[in-house]
Amino acid sequence: MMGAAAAPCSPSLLRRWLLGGLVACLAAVCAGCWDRIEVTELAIISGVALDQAGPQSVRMTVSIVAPTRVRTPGSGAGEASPSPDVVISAEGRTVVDAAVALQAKTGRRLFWGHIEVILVGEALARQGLAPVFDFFARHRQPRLRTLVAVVPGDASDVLATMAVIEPSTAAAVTRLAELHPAALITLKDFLADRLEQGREAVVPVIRVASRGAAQPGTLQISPDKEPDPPPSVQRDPLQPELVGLAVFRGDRVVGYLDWSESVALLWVRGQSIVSSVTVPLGSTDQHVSLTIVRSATEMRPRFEGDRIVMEMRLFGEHDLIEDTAGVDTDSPRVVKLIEQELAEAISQSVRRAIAKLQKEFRSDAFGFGAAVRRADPARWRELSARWDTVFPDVVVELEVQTFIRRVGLTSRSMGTPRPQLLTDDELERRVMGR
Amino acid sequence: MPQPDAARLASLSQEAARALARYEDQLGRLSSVKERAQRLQILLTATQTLEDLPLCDVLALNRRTLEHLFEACSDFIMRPLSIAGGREAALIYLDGLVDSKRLDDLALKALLYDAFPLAGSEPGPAPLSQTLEKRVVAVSQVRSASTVREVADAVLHGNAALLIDGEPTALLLDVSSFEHRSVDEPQNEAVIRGPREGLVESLRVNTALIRRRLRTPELKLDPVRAGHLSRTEIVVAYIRGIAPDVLVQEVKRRLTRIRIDAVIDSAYVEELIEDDPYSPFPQVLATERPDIVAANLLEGRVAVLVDGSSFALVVPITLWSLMQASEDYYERYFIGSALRLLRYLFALIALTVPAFYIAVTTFHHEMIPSALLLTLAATREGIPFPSIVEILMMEISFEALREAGVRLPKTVGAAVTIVGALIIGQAAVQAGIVSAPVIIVVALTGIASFTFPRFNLGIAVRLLRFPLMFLAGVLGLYGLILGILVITIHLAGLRSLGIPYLSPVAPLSVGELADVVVRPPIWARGFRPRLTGYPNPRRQPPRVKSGPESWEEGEPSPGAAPAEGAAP
Repeated sequence: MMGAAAAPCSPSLLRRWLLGGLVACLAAVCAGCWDRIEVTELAIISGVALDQAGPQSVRMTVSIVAPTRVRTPGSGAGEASPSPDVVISAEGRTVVDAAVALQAKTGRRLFWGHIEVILVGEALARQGLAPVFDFFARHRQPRLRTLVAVVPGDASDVLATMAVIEPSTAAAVTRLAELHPAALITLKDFLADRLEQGREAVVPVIRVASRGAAQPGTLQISPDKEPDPPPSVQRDPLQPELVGLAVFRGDRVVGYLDWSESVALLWVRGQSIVSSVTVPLGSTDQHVSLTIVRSATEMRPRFEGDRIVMEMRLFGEHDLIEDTAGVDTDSPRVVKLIEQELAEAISQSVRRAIAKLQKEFRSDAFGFGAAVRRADPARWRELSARWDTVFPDVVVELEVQTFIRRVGLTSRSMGTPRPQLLTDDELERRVMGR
Repeated sequence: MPQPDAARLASLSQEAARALARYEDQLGRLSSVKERAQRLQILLTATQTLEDLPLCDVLALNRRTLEHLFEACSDFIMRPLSIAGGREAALIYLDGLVDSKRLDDLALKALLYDAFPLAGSEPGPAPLSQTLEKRVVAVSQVRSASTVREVADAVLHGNAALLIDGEPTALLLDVSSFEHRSVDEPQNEAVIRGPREGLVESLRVNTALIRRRLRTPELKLDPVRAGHLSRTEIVVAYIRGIAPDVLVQEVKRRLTRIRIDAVIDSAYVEELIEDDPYSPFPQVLATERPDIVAANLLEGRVAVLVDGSSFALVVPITLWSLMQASEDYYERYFIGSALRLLRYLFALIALTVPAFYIAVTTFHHEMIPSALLLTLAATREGIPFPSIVEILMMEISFEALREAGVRLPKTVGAAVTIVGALIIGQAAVQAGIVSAPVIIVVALTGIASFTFPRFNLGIAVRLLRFPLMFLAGVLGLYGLILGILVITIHLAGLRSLGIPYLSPVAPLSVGELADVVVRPPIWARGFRPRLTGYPNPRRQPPRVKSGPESWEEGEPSPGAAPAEGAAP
């Protein structure tokens, strides 16, 4: 039949068109839909946990969303359906090796395109993450927007917890991180930090929240009445919890920071922070709480001979959201005093973080090196090789400026006056006296 | 070719021979015996070539000729008369095409009574037909004809022909009138606001409807005939001075080029004058609304009105003008603009959404938001068919449902639609044959394909989405983009009467883009489209925007007018 075209008689225009159409159709049909994959042939992975399994082996745990167990609207909700997650793990010499082993256990094709979080166990993280993340950065399916987190202990434990509010545990971790933008550090951020000279990476730390103690006192069954049905509300279930930041040196985790230090660190790094601080007033046990509305950082190195002095200025704008002391928040004098107290508290946590990073972890997660590089590239070229030894001796001149912009909807002038636990004068005496 | 029987032929030939002998001068034009024989031959053999004969001044012969021409036509009526002192005459017409009341009152009565005393037998300087035309027949349109063809043609168009013995001309009296639909709202182009008149099947009514909107002698209505059996009257309407002459000439050239037996509807004309007969896209705007025709004439376009069709054709058009509804201009321009943008969005949806769904769910799962993918996966669980089969099934059923609804009577159509929607929508999902998202996609594209203001463009787009679906099923988004590219290339090369189909976008004309993207306010439309309206580019003087200050400039404000009137 193809001979007709090759025949010496020149085909008419119509025949040429028909032949062209036939070839196009056959090409489409022969090529077919060979790489067509229906959604139902996929095992959609929502979260990955990587742990050290042995001296040279990685254990990969994935949570796969089983579509049959996803509760769709209209499919008769009401009964508490089991979590749609199925958690499977396999071991291998490398990540891909483990993935191949995982695929052997899964009837559907593993699909990496919708991973929401990659959790790395502490043991593996201390070994170095570069070989682990290579696959996730190289393969086309995983997204660079995937959240990265370190788990003290076994990362697979987090995936194995039951998601309470979110449809899957991985989603729960992601929502948790999104709520605290400080902790929303993605694979892309991590890789960017690794590539930037003079700034080490940080990654949020997530662990399984310890189950609250059983509280028999809350359930009071009087003997007279019918016994109430057991409460269907799940109380303090095992669930992921965000505890702070893990600090890296190179691709290895070297230590952890608690929340207040983490906030300080991110503030210095110039990342946006959504957080609230509670500050004791004048060393009393009376507190005010404030949220950060806007923050900014200025960091400029000054070179005094061999000494590097880092001039660091932090700006913060705050809203007052709680006042247990009953101070007069209408008075500008008091607001000034609170601002002072706040600045003091912030600089304390910054100094604590600096001390930890310089002396304990020896990790330049602040980006002092990057600041030097930007200010004096020639000097950075000379310093960069021995930055690890120079960094701990960088002197920081810290200045914190805080502004309270709003004090909330209530004030002392409205409603019944509360007993003022801390008078203005007393507050001033205590703040200024220090 | 009908073969006249031998007896009639014999008698006809006798009479013809007599006539030819008597009027040697007329035959004197035939220079040779051979030619004379040919004429005889023509006369005797072919009914169709009877038309080529000239009229002669023997009434009996003319009557014979016409009787043969209209042989076996039950509506052919020949009324013998005796007028003007006994001259034999005959009134010929087709029953039903003429207004018999007018014919009786104005022509027949006048001829029989008023013309009888005329001294027709007197040899006068003017032939009797001229006297009759001037003094007797009370019909406004009277012509004279001297060939059988002219007479036959006029009779077929509803004229009555008066043949008088002794004169080689016929008097054609226009008493045509036939039943036509009354002017009512066009069913397929309804508007919420705007004129509710629609074109009808009668050409004269249609030209009147347009003329009533453009009362200017510059509105030209050039007649053309097409169809050698139907002899349909076609009118080329344009505004001289606005429509380019070359365009008018081209339209007329294409119309005269039509070689077809009959033009039943303007759709025949459309197919015979368009630039690219292989394109799925309409290159002619067919509308039932005289206001649309008038508005297009004002943009320098040309309208083609076909007798017997209630659809006027407007050429040349662009893709964008097919996306515009007349209502855009009858609502406030904010709303018109918003609706126009909405229409573009839904045009895109109608073309691409099923293909996009197929491509994304079978090739590019990473493009779907995680939560949506999970929902999709959950609904697709247990569906036996691949996405493309599922979508094709539903799209084809939808098209069938629509087709069934169009052809059925209105009352039954609604029932079919409801039953079809229930079966296809509800039952197919519950039975687990089709997934719910597919229903949503099909319904969305269905709705989107009905947002096209022009039905023929909607059909083209509906058709094109099937190849796109196949391409997406085979090659994913790559195939979809490929298909869209092919369509775009085709559109970019398409022309309507020589005007690029995508203008003013594809040959870019920045100033005219406003009328493509949004609906500009009437006072801001200063210029006609450059490619069609260039002989008279300005629509209106500049600065016609309304507002309180425009009163102060020229005429007195309406508030001041009564005060002035009260002063004297």
